[in-house]
Amino acid sequence: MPDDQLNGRLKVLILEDISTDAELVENELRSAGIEFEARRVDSEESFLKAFEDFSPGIILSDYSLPSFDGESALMLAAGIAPNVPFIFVTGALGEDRAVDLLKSGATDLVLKDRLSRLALCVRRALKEAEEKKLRQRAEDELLRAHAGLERKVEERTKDLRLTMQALRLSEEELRKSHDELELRVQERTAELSASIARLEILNQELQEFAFVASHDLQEPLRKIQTFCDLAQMRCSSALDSVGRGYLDRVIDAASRMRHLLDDLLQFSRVAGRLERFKTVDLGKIIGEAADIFEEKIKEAGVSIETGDLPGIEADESQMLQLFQNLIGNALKYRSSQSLRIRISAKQDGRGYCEIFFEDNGIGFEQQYAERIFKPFQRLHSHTEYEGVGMGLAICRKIAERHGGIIRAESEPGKGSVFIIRLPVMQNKVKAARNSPPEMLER
Amino acid sequence: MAGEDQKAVLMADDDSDDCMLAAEAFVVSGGKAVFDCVADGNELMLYLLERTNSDSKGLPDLILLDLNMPRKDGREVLLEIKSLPALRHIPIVILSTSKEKADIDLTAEAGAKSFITKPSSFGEWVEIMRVLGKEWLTKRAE
Repeated sequence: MPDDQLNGRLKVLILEDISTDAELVENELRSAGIEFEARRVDSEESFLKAFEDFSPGIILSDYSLPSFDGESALMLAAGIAPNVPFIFVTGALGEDRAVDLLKSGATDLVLKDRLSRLALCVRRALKEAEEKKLRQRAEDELLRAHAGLERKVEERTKDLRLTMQALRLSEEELRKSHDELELRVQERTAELSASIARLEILNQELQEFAFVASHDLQEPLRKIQTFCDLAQMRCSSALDSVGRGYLDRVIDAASRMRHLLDDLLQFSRVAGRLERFKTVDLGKIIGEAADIFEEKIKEAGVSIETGDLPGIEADESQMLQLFQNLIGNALKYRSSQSLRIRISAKQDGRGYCEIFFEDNGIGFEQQYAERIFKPFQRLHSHTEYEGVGMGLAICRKIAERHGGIIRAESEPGKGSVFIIRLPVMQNKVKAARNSPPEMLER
Repeated sequence: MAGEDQKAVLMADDDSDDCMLAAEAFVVSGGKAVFDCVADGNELMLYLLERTNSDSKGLPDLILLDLNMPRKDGREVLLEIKSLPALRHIPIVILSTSKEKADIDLTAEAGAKSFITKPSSFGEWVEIMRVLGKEWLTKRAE
């Protein structure tokens, strides 16, 4: 420690009942070049007061005083100003006592008859005190910094804990809403499955009804037709021309009803039949379908061109029915120019085959492209074109039974294209379809 | 009129309309035989068994058999007739609304001579009766 820091600032508290001894001490320090301000006290009271209004930088204390003693002073000083060096300046003292004093916290001990050591001791004590103070300060700062850090860590920890809590909460909420959602999905799925099951039963009942109705209605119709026939043969002479006209109309209507029932029966047979799939050569099937119309085809000069057609897994008789209906349809709705039918196919590489059935017939407005596939839907009256409107409905049913679709593109006067999309193999789609029970044939 | 040469046709059908139409068509087709009708398999068997042991009334020369009848249907009665030595010689023609291959095969196997689906015009009825009369009633008369 540089001397100038001590100089002028050092306050020396001297606990000494003998003023000359105190002067000796002061002289010793002064002669050693230490600048200081001193106060001499000789009682406990004045000693304590000095801490309030003097703030000593060092204490030089006698060991024994008439009204006070050095040891007590040392205890007091240690309590009030533990960093202030406390040096005993005393007369002869036993070695054991000296050691005890030093152990009790005294900084040093100088014998009065060896005062020449005093300045050195004071300097050393002050230096040590200063060093201790600095160390203390550094330690304090360290402690403060540490405390600050600890506080920050604590704050962070708290923040983290809060964040985690919030996260846990939102996670919980998320899980809860997820669970709720799942539950609702399950409920809806169950509802849907139930509805589907109901619909399937209903659909099956409807199909059975259609089958039974069309089958059973055939019998009375056959009677109507036969007895009308009989009446026409046997009783025509008993009727006037008006009556005969009525009978003709009944016969005509009964004949239409016959076609209708035949088609309906066929439609419900397609719907209710179990699949009998095998590999079907479409080219061959189309040839067979065309043969059914051989006469008409020759008569009307119809040309049927077929491209490369694949073999697909299908119900052979239903495929025949499909192309028979399409060719019949094309023949029925041909335009004034001679009918040309082109049938081609391409595979889409995803297990499906698309068959294009094109004609140059009268065509229709595209807006009717869906309607024509509905049962009993016709775009023309049966006086214009005969038929009951089941042909294409049967085609659609057949396509659906094969896990495929049929659709149409057309424009009036520009012909039509029917596009049939069917799976090449049935095993892929079979599982997706329900297999209704085989209809009871009666 | 009933004598040794008098031929007889028996139709077993629960549908009286069809019985009437068939009988009329038989007459229109020029058939001269007796045309009797029974309404089900039980009646048919009674009719036949009654005549098996009778001197005055003979067995029919042709049986027209419907398949779907109450009580005892055509399939059963066909097998029964073909199992009886006294009756199995009588030609049986199936006359039904059915067009099912299963029915056609089954009855052919059981010994039915022919399988005819009931027509829907009287003209056809007459034609059927004419052919049946020619095939099964005149040959043996000659």
